Formats: sequence, C-alpha cells, structure tokens
Amino acid sequence: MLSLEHAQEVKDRSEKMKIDEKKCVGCGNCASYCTMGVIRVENGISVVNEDECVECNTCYRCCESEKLNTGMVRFLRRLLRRIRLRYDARMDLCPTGALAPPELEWPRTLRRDFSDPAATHESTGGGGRGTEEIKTNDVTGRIGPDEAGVVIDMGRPGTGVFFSDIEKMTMALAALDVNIEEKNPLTALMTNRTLGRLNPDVLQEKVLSAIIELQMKRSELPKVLETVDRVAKELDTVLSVGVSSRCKTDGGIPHEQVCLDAGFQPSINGKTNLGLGRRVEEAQQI
Amino acid sequence: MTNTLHRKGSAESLKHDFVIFASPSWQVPDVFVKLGRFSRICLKHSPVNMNYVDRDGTHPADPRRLQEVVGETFGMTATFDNTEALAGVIKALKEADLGISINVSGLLEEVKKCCNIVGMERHSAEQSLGIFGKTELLPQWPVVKINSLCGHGLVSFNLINRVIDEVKTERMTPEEGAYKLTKPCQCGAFNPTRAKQLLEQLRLKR
Repeated sequence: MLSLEHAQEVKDRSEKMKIDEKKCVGCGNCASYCTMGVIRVENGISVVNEDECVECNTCYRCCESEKLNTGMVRFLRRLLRRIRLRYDARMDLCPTGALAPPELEWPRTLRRDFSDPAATHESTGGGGRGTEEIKTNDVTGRIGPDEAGVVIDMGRPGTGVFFSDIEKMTMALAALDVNIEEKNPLTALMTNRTLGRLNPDVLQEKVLSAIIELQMKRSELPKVLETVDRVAKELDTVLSVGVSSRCKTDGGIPHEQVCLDAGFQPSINGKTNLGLGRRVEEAQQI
Repeated sequence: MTNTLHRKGSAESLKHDFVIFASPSWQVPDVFVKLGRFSRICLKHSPVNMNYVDRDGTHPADPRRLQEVVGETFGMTATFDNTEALAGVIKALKEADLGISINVSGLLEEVKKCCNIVGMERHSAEQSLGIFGKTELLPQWPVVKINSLCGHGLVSFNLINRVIDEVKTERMTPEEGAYKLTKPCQCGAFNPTRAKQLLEQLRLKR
C-alpha cells in the first residue's frame, strides 16, 4: 500500500509535456505536429492528453517560438473573428512560445528515451531504439551464415504502444528458441529474460515505438513469424516486422524463400550492408 | 535500428529513394576524417537530404542548404533520389576504402546491381515483412507511405493530412509541402523528392 501511495506521489510530482495556458493562443499548430495526435484545442487553449503523450518533443522542436505578446495575439484573433476573418500563424510556429520541454521522472522518462531520437537511454547510455543489427554485420558477424535476425518495431507506424502490449509479445517470443539482443534498451527493462517479463513499473508507459531484436537459427524463423502474427492480432496497436541474414556468396538472400514458404512476403526494398567495413584490429594495422 | 527499412511504395516510385548511411566503430583510427570523406563523397552526388554531426549529436540539415551546412562538419546519413547517384556513391566509397560499415536502404536489386558493377557482392540484407496487428488504426495508405519516409515516425499523420489539404487548396505547392514535412525528421532520411511526388499525386486525385 505504501509503495502504491509513493508511486502516485511520484506520478503527481513528475511533469508532462507542457503547454503554458497563460501563453497559449489556441492556434493548434502543435496539434498538427503531435506524432500521437493527442493534442486538441479546448476553450481556446491547446490541451495534451497526457496518458497518450509519448514525450517525443516533436511539437516543441518543430514549432519555433515567434515570441509575440500573448495579449496582443489574443486581441487580434478575437477582433478578426468578429469580422469573420482568421489569422493563422505559419504552421511551424508557436506564436507566443507556449510550449516547454518538461523535466521527467522515472518511469515517464522512458517515453522520451524511446520516442525522441535526440534522447539517450539511461539504461544503455546510447540513443535510438535498437542496436546496429545488420548494419555492422560485416564487422561483428552478429548474424552468421545459418542464422536470421528478426526486428519487431512495436507501435510503428504512427500508432504508439504501451509496454503492457510489448510484454505480451516478449513473453510469447521468450518461449521460443531465440536470443534476445542484450544491448537493446528494451532488454534492459526485462526483469526476467527467460520469461520475457518487463519491469511492472513500466507497463503503463507509452512510447512512439520500441524494437524487439531477436537472433535465431534460420530454421526457427517460420515458428517465430507465426508467433508474431498470432500475438499481433491480440494487441491494440500495429507493428512492423523485418528479417535479416548474411547473404550467400552469390549475393542471394537466404531468408527470402523461408519467409515465402511460411506465408510472408518480403519487401522489394530493404537494407543492404555493402561489406566495406573492417574490424577495428584490422583497421589499426593498416 | 530499423529506421529506413519499412519505406513503402511501388518499384517505380522507390527508384527515387535510396538512403546511404555510415555506421562506424568509434575505435577505428581517424574515424572523423573518414566520416568527413564519406560526407564529401555523398555531397558530390547531390543528395536530397542529409544529417550533420556536431558536439551535441546528430541534427537534421535544411535540404536546400546541404552543401553549406553539412560541408562545414560531416554527416552520416544521405538520401538520394536516383540510381545514377547511388551507383556513383557506391563506386566512390569502394575506391575510398574507408574501412567503415556502409549500408544502403532502397530497392534491393538496384543496390545489388550497383555493387556488381564495381565488382562487389553484398554482405548482408534485411527486408520488411510489412505491418501486422490492428491495421484498422492506420489512415489511408498514401499517408502511411509519407509517414514511412521518416524512420523514427516523427512526421505525424495529422501533419501529413494538413499538408495534403494545403496542397489541394493551393495554399502550398507540393514542393513547399514536401519541405514542411521534412522538418520533423531528425536523421536526414526523409526524402523530399518522393514526398513531393506523392503530394502531387494526391493533389490530382479526386
């Protein structure tokens, strides 16, 4: 009971994306930039649905402050409305600088860490949502010749995801014969990797997206994809799935036929590692 | 990172969309010099977008001022809108032999062809299997296509819809709309050429 009270106290103290109601003139520009579509204008003031805001800071970053006097802008807007005219600021401006980035506290900090590319994860000290996966495979050899990598981008595109939904997926996948990428910031939130359980404190937090990164024997791929497809149908969000592998000597992509046989169509576009990297030790010898 | 993996479009439209990025290990000797060379090679082939790096991290550059902004520092991501530029960059990067990992997002067969022309075979490849789950939450497909051009998903559905309205009502040209949509993207992967093409198609759609 004490811990619940403490949690509530922390929640109350923690700030969320702020729109200064003394300054806001209700132009609604920030609503257009909101990645989650959770800013609305109510009684002439922009309001954020804080449960759904992912603290990506896009509204703040994109709507530069015009630093106009609030009283003057409100007066002009009212005056123009009377004669059935309207003044709209350029869409990437906040006329009075009413937006302010908040000071966040754990676990709400996770929203920003996963959703704002400029943020750094407290857990890993790195930015972004995932690791280098195949981007440095020519140097690390992380995905071997008989293996496959799978990345599940939860909440993408544009829908966002609560960690409670992410946990449903990680628990289903942890039961399979896969390796969950250790350096991924999502893995750092797991309290039980064998079961795929996340820290219960974070489950009600929402992020723009988070990536589950897996590595497995290629023969396991159909089972993993079937599981992802099945669990995805139970979630209140969308997810984008990617599969990677080391190419054959003739440049062929070994996972392609496996995906097709399992009933999944790989895209005609994708990511290619050109193989131009060298390991650090080799580079140092040159 | 799957940032540029899930870009949507037909084969024809994706011929105008290639993202090249450097993923160095920071222990590589003279890594900043090498990234400077990577940047200059990219800038020489007229990218349509790039990011730049300074002491505070990576930032988006104004696509209309890339030579000026990125030329002073260096960038790690560059977006191109044609296969000739892609082939030129791959050739130049192979000759430069920087020893850092280089990846290309785009039509896999086109990238493979460019590699083969300069006697290379691709090392690894990644493909998207599409969108799973509650897809009824998504807006109309052209909006999703534009949204997919920003790998972090920072170009909101609302903004895209607003720009489409502005373009349809001639308050904004497709080109102006494309640059407005580029602004939220932080990594230089948003392709204003493709956004402009998509906006133009939407403008003419009934």
